[in-house]
Amino acid sequence: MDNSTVRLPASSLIALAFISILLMVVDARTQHLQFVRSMLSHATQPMVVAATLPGAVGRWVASQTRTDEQLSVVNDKLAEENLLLRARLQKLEALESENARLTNLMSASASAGENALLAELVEVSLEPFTHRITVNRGHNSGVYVGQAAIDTNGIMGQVTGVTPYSSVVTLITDPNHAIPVQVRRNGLRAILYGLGTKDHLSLPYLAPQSDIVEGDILVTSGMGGRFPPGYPVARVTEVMADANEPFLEISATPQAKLDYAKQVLLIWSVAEGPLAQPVDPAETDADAAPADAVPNDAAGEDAEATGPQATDAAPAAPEPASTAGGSQ
Amino acid sequence: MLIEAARKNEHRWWWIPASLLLALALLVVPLPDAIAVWRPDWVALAIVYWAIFAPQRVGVMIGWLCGLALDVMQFTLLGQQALSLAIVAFVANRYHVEFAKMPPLQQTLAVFALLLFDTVFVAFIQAFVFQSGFDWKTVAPTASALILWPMVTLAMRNLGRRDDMF
Repeated sequence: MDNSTVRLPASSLIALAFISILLMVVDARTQHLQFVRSMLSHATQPMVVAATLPGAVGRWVASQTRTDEQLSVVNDKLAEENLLLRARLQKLEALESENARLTNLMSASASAGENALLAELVEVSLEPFTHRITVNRGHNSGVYVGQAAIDTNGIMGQVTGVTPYSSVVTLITDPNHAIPVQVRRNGLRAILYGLGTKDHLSLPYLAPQSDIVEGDILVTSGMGGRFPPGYPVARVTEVMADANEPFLEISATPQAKLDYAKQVLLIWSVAEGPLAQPVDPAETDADAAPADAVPNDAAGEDAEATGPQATDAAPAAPEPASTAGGSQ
Repeated sequence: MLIEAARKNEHRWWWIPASLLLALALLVVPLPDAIAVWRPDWVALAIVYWAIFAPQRVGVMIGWLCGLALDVMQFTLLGQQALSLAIVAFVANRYHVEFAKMPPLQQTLAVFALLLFDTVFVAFIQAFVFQSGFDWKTVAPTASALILWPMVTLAMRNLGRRDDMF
């Protein structure tokens, strides 16, 4: 009944505390531990697989035991939806080519199309106050830090951490997140900040005479190079003008269903996508080599974690906003 | 009786790693959104249990390693939960005799204090590093762990024992 049964004395606690603090500081300030994290995640991955297996089996059994009747109902619904979407797509294609022509006329850089990768949410409970989610695709699937994540309704957030099999997406509602947007109606540019609450975003620094009203849809502006332009982000819910304040007080609510999404689309511009990677090895090699050698900026840090694609995402333009959440 | 059980190592040795792995896996098991917030702090619970009832096997090092696994799985800073669980394991180790002797209600409250320390410590580092706010939901897993403690001790008393059929 004495403490001699306890093998490890206080000194080991002190040593471990020292190591922990060192790890935390390095992890918070740099990306150097990305590698260690990746290695360790190989060890924890079996647990994730084991824990999600029963659910996966259950879903599979459920899908196997559906009756023909149910299937035909679902099928009809999907066919109908497909028809509608195709009709809309025709129009969109016409608009897209017209847009590309006009952009060419103005000799601006044409925007490339995007590829998407479907990822599913993993039920790893992150602390509820961080507004981050984990998805089941990692850099084995070509995911990189800074990549945009969307659902069917709009932008959800961006990838801020990658391991081989999973990655963490910081949502636009995270208090550390900011995203460059513009008003779809008139192109007014602004930066949208997360506040740490579920359906509340803030749009500060707009002058009182700015043309923005309740119900305006905010879309990504593509400034900063992180988010591809044109995706809906949020809807303005309240515009308050206070004569004593230099700026309008504007709140918005996210378009994406951040709470309900079980699936997330991670998007690449076609130019930098996982499909493009093997096509032009010369270019990517040339890009990757110096980035590895001189990891002195954001580009270097990204490249370290993710390989060649990240170098395309890195030329972060004057607007620093979208990198705000990328410190993980 | 519990103390005797712990002293004689009546638990089969593999039951400790098995229960710790189970705790880690329970962290990832899908739960309905409504109760996901209340997902108990299984790993901390398991560490505290073993640090009290098998102090010669589970201590600071195991606590630290489990915390590190949590850090990897939950994308918290490496070392954040590791340090927290190491401290928790240390305290539970140090006072395992006192803990084991306590009457059930008092023991539950003492364990709750330990788990609460773990949660608040992790949340504090998180808030300090990321300048994020504090949410009452952070404490929810600790609260459900509190409710589970008596059941866990009861279950563990009867599972994985030498005289079991396993």
